[in-house]
Amino acid sequence: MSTDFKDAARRHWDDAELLDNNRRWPNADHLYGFAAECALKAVMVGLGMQLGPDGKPPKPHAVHIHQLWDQFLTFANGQGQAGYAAMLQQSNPFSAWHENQRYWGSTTIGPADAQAHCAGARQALGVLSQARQDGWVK
Amino acid sequence: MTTPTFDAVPGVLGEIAQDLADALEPAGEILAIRDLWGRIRFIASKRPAPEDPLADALDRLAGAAVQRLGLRAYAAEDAILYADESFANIEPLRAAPGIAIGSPGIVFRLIDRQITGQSWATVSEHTDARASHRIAMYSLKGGVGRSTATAAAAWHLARLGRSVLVLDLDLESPGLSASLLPPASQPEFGIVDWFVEDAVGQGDTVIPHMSARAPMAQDLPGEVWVVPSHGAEPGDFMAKLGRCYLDLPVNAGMEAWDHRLLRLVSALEKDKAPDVVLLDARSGFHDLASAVVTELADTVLLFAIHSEQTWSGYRLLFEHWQRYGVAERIRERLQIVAALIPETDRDAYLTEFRERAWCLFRDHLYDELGAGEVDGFSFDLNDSTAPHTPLPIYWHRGLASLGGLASLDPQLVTATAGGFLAGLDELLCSAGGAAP
Repeated sequence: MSTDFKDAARRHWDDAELLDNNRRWPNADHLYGFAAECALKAVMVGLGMQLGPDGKPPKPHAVHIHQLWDQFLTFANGQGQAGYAAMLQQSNPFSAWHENQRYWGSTTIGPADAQAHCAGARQALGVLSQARQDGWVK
Repeated sequence: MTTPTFDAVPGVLGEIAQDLADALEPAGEILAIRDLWGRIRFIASKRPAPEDPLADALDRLAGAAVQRLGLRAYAAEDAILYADESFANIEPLRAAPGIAIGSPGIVFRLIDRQITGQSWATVSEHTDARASHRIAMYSLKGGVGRSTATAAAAWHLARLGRSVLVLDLDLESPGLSASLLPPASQPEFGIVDWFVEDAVGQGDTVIPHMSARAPMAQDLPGEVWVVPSHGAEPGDFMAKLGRCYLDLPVNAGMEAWDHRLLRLVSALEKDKAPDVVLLDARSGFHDLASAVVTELADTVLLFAIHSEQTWSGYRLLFEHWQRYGVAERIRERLQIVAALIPETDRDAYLTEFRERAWCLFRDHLYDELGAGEVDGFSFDLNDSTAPHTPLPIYWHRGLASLGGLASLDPQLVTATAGGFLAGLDELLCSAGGAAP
């Protein structure tokens, strides 16, 4: 297994968009969450986070986006990095998102959820794009 | 494969531009981003279709970068980013000061991503209508009597009936306000407090509690308001200082910290409606100094002593302005001040000082006029109105040993800084509005 958060972020985003455009909101919503998670983890790796031999982040950061968002705000520190935290909104847009929602019924997630999480994922991918421009992430 | 040194990179990019100019022409201007490590990555506006000849040209560009930039290149597959695929706003990059590379026509624009020092090349245009005139007190090195001169200028202007606002923007070594205001008169909050409160959207609540009247002006027709770096109770100053240089998200983009500083100064001007704002900038090439010098100030007083260190430092700065094509915009705001003029051989000292200052301005900022040409920004060595002609401040034991600046001896100020203050009056007069 080779972890590639940058690549995975883009793939989840593209697939989420496909589903969203076809009104498949619950699964679009699910993938927006993973797109955001992978984007932030790609940046954290670029900023120095070491992955374990299993390709996973260390314990406190091995979490999904509903917890990772706030962690990222705390993680970024110092002159070169603080700007990335500042690109994310302070209130976590994924606070109501959960990785287990893939087991939920089809009517529990609607277009408003997908729209909010689409916006959140866009912010996280914005941080990744910025970190690439700056050279932290290849 | 050898790797060019940092300064050789523009030349290498020039060679690549020459080789690929025709093939890359359909891409328009390509940004060459020199990242924090000094590596080069390109940003093209749009990813071309695989069958488009431009796709091949961009592949060749990536290959050429790997080959000629060595350790300063990214792997070929990572060498080019496309603006249409970016989730980050590219516009700030496009608007950033850069160096054009390629001829004929621009092929690349080299944009530097820096941790600090970015804004020395960004000189604002000052299109806003303001009642107050902002004067930056700037020096390359500390200890040249900048704070004393700031106090003297404030006192002098208040004596002429002007309302003066003094900002202690030397955040990393605060202290001006402590010498202008007795402990009991310090305001509740300072500049670092505004930055941390503004971060959560309540900067306005501290504005009315950030300034205090300096006692030096109590019997004068005008007034002097002082805004300190920190409040009467500094609190956790370091933790607040460490957050002052934070860019913050606004709507769809980011508000750079120096723009936030601009907003702070405007809010203080609105609160106190001063005629003149004296900005005590910190010395050296720090970002705070560049924000004050290149963005905030209408007039920049460049404090100098006649030493190689001073002249070579100012040469670096003037060359930078020249390189980025902003010299013409900033040069009319500049004025040299001869600080700490020694007690002996004053005339000889000032003559040499003026010659060195003139060479510096002539080489980097003045227009070269042909025979018979009269129009242009150019001054003779002995032109008394020239920005290179120093406003003099004489060293004096009484002034140097002054414990605080809360009260100034008028005779002493006139004897030591009379020429400086008269020059200041002329500058304000020619700027209009705030003239005494």
